[in-house]
Amino acid sequence: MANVRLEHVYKNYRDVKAVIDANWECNDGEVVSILGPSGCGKSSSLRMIAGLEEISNGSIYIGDRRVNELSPAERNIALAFENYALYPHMTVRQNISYPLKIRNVEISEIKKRCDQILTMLDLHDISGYKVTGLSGGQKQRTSLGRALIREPDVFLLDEPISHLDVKLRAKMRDDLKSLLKRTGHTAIYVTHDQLEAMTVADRIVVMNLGEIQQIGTPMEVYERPQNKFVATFIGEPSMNLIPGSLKKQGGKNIFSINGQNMEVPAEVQVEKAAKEGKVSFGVRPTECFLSLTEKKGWLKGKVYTITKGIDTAVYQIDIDANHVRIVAERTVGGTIGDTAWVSFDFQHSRFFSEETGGRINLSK
Amino acid sequence: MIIARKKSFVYRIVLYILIIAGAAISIFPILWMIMSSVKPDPLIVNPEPIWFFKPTLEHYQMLFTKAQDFTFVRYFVNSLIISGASTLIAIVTGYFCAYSISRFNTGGTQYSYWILSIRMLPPAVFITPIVILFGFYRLMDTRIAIIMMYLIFNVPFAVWIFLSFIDDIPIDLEDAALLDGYSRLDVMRKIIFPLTAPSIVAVGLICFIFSWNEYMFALVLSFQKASTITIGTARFVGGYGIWWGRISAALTVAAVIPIALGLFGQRYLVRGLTMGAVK
Repeated sequence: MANVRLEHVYKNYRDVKAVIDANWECNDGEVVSILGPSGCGKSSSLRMIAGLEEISNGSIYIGDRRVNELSPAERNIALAFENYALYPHMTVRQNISYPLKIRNVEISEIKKRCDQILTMLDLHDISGYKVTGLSGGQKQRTSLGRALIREPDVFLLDEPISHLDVKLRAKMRDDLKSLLKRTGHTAIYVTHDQLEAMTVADRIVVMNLGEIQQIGTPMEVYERPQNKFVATFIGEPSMNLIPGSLKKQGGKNIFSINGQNMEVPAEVQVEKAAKEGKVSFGVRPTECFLSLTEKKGWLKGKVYTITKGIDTAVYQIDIDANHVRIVAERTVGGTIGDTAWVSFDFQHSRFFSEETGGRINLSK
Repeated sequence: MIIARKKSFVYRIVLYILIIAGAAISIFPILWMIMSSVKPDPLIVNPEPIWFFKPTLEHYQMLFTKAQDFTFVRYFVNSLIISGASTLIAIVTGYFCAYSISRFNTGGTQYSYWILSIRMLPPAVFITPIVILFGFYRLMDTRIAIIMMYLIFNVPFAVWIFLSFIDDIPIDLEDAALLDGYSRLDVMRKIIFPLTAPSIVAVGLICFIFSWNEYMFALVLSFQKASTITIGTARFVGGYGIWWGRISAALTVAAVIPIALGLFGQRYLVRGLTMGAVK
């Protein structure tokens, strides 16, 4: 077991900057997830840690060792690949025991450890099968087994369950979490699926366009996003960002959107926002209230779309050309074009600078 | 239901007739060659085809007894050495070349097309420059010259077949093996090689048969010492007549090797040539 530390790590592919100044640490026994859209540099980061890509600049430490110059094998890490990368000409058992075979471990020892892994991952019944005929879930477990048998210092997972179907993915997500906790491995888990990151990881590193956007626990990242990207990337449906301006009017805090005014709680330090110029108000669709009858002091708009889900419906309300998504009960009713009134729960009020995209801390 | 079965029965009859006819047409020349090789000379040139006769081995005896200035055995050995060597070298260089193009993008994206373009030229284009060049280096009438000539055609072919195979193997597989502790060479030997084995058999067969059957370059580049079996066979066409019996016997012997290889490698050949394209 060991921790992993990245210090000012850069990765450039010719003109493309894939990773820019990555600075973070994964503690011993911790599960850190790198989350971001495709092309954000998350896989490059992982491959640099694994030693499969050269590090353009900066240092990576595993434990106390600087590993920049070490070959992948010398780093004592294991990687579970997105497409499993199983050796197609071997059986499940041969695949799982192969890393030990390469390292010339004794045959009796290989058998013992292989049996443990097969039991742990429930693969005993199919241990003699060639891997080409297996289902996605079986291949995935075999690939995990091959990674686990080495007892590596660090366990890397590159979108390990993104190719599975929805139901199996939910099950594997839970299995994976309990497996990682049980074995106590230091693990770095790359994914583009926020749900996977939120459920499996202890901490999340959110990346976009090569840059780290925020590092924090799943709750921190969800509740207190540092900028507009994190705010809209995490959460489904994504957070509403409503541009407008904050001002004091008649002793009250007012947020005005295209002429419509709404009162904001007194705790919000409006004076601070005045320095930032234009701001966006960030509110999650679940933190909005919707009414189809007139309410005083609420914002007035029109129903733009209604998307009915299984137990809730997502309404898009057009408020002076701003589309606000709201999660409401299916029973609210209404049709497209109806007039609607909207209000927000200001408990988590988040304001972002329109200029920098960063969050402005307006609480006292 | 019954109609459908009837239809399929008729369909099968027609199909089998066509297949048998096709097979007969393709096998006939070979059959006739083998028959001629054991026919006494006067019967071969008979205007009416003769189907039944007392077979003789005199043509074969003639082939393997030493004549004044050339021997058939020497041509046979030449062919074996030249075809074998050019095939082996093509496989080894082609394999490494394809691996490096596939994995390290050696030579940029256009390099593999440049290699292929060598095969797009009509082979005769090469004759004049090659003869001048080999003459200058005193390589005429040596086996090495003919081996090198065949490599010009065999290596690009080998590179392209291997390239399509190696490209099909996910790079993650190699990364996994590297992480598990293999060196790059181990990865090639123990992971990539077993997975591409059918392609090696296919490439080997096709290169060998090309080299074995080649006539034009062998004719131009050899006079006597380095002549191959195709040239040797043609030498039975003399100024005073054509030795049909000996030609047939020589060709029968020459055909044994490719046919044997074909039977042995048939399974891999089909797999090797289709695996790259169809999955």
